[in-house]
Amino acid sequence: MSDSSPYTDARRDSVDDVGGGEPGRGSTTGAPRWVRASAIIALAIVLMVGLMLLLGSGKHGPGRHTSGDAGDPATPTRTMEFLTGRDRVPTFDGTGSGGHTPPAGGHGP
Amino acid sequence: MTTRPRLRKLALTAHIVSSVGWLGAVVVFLALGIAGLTSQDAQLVSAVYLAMEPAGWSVLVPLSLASLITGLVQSLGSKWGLLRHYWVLMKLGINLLASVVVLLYMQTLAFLADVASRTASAGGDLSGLRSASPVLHAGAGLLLLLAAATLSVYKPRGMTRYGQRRQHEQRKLWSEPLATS
Repeated sequence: MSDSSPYTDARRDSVDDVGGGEPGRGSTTGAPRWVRASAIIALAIVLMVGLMLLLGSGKHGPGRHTSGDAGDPATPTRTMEFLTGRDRVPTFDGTGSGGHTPPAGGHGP
Repeated sequence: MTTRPRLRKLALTAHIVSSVGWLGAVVVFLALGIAGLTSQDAQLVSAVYLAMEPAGWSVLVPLSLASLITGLVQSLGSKWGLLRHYWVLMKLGINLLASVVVLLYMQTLAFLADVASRTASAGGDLSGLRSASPVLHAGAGLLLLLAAATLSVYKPRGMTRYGQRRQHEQRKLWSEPLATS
């Protein structure tokens, strides 16, 4: 870029490279067409992503995209247990071993 | 506020290097994400998700912040300014958005690495770990960075209201000494 103005350097390469540099061409009031088109595209993308998040029960972030019960980022072990088939379901006796807990008196002699 | 030509060249070089480096890193993340999603090799899938977190902290985050900071220095130190031209303003928006997403996404990468580590050590099935998230995020990031690079090269015309006002003021300043002499 030149020292005095960005426009002089841009002109050296190509007049069309100048961002609003040419008097009367870039200095029109209001945003140019490409800015308006970009804004519309950006708005459409934001709306689409927002809609997808809403339809996806509003969850976004760690674990949302993995399969299995990985919705809670604070407890990654749940995903691991799910994946390894060692899901534990809390039981009334507080052992947390769920289906692996032998029923009372079931295994007794 | 303008800087000396040598200093400006240095800032421009730093901005180009960090931005192109960031773009390249995103391409690598996209490739890793695709490998993690499609590979049948459980060890490879695990390695992909384990590698993403440290690579994110050591490459993606520093390059994104470097690109943002050098871009701010570059624009404020030249006559292009930060808020005068739509293309500079749009690049700033893209850079800010992408940097924030990268920082927020590190949480997801940490989660994936943790799950991969635990599942691999337990000898579990990694098929449930496969995630399209890194591919989606890296793909969107790549599109954004390509748009920013295109804006830098083409510099589409269009001045903001602030830019027009500043240009008008500068023209007045330049014409006054000529009128008085």
